[in-house]
Amino acid sequence: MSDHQQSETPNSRGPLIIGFLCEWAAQLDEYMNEDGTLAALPNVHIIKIPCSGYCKPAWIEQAIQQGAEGVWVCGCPMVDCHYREGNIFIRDRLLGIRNPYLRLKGGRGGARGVDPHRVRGYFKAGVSSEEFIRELKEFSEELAGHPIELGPIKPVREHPGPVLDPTPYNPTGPEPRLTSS
Amino acid sequence: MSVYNKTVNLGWRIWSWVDDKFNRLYPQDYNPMYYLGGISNLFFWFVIGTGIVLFLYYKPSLEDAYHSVEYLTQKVPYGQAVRGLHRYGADAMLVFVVLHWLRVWWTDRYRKFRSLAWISGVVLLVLTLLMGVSGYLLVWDERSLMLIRMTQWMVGGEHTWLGKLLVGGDKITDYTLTRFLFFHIGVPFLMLFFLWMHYIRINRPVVYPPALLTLQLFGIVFVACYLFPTVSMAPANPEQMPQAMLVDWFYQWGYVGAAWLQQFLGHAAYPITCLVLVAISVLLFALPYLTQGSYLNVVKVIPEKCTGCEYCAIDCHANAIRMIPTPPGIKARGGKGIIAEILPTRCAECGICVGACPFGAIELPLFTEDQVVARIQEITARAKQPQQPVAAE
Repeated sequence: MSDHQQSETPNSRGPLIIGFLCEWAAQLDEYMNEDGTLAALPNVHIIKIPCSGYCKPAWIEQAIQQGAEGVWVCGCPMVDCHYREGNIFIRDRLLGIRNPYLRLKGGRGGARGVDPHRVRGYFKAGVSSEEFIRELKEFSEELAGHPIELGPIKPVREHPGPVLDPTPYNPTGPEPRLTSS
Repeated sequence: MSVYNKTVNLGWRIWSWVDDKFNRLYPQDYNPMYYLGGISNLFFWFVIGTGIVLFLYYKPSLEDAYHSVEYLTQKVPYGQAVRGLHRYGADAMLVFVVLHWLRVWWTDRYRKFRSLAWISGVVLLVLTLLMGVSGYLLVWDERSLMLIRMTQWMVGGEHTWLGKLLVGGDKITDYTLTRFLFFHIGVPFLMLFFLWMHYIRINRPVVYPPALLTLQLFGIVFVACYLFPTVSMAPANPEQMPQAMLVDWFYQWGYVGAAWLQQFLGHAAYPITCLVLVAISVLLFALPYLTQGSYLNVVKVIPEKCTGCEYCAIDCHANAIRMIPTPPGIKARGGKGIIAEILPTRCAECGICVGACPFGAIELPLFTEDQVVARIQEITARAKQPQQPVAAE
């Protein structure tokens, strides 16, 4: 698997992004094409799931191995999960602090893990669809602009805060890490 | 997948909008709209705490009741404050109980596996109202007298069986106040039982808001109690029926409504109001059963794959998974000798247990892991194909 090669394949639509969307979180039905892509971003394919806690980290790893350049999971805002704690579980799995965890490169996944800058968690209330699409657009642009592998990532051990949002890649800046905002 | 259509549901849209506004004021995990039940419970204990102080000074007899409350208010250090906190704390409790009720109702968190919590919640709501009203009877001022008379009219009249039961005989005596005091203090104990029922199906219930939110809410109650000190009306005289009273709109709206209806319906307004309230309560009890839906997508355990690691049982928020000894005939994986079992009527069909299982031993029948994997493959395969040229216009 090489992220580098795949991102160089010509794709006029932009980087292929797969999203797992909780059916209780941001309502994107009005903004979606019939084939499950976003009308504004045809490179974003959405798989609707009953709760963000249903998403298995293995699916994220598989999607990236098969050529997706970015994967996101969207759940309800923290504490407001329709099924109480699903969004907390998936957040902790993405951060690598809850079993079964996402194997992040440089973290518990070692060298073969997933590049953390390709994975994002969003936690959006029902009416914030347009705001959410704007953020997805940023994610898409970021992936298109920086499709390269990053250095080792340290998993966050302390309570990470509500939003899982990797810092934008900056080659001259400090070591990249998962931050909370 | 769900029967409940969110995008056309007005209540769901209202709450989403409110959440969004509060999310701009607070960090997500401090949003008070996400802790309405916890805040209700917080004020419940707040009111019990202040109520214990009031109880130390209260004398339940016709002669002493009014003066003991006045003594507490005027002479005891911080007595006025404790009395105010008891009253405004109770008002705040009702506000948050009602918001909690509307939220779970309009965001579809009340039926199916949550119906036990809804039933006990309706009981708690009714008990909260009864507890609040009975507190006003203890002060023994003109308002207490009016409320007692109006309650008697509501249950049929002063000389009917229920009317006599309420005050303990044909006339109001010392025993009337004793039984109101027992009622006012007994109801919270009954509420403890229903609170237990309210939480029993929830794994890790959130029963208090975060500390900073607690401080903020207490601050609001303290400010209210400083700005609007609680006062009694004139002492009650059972021989002379008062004509007007100060109204606490939180708890006495039923009485105000009945008094307003009196101009149209005459004296029958009181029993009619009472019947309407009872009918509403009965309807609320029936609500989860009227909109029950069916359990089509209950998760299934694949016993051959289950290792008994308990991740699913730990993660299940509805206590719908329990671990049982491996039945004979199934070769146990792992050394624990237990496998997961689903309790179907508690299942939320959310799939959180599927996400928790590292062995693929549990699945949603209508949306299996294989289907998700196939979908991922389909998407990635389609993206690898060369792009279709856009037709020239």
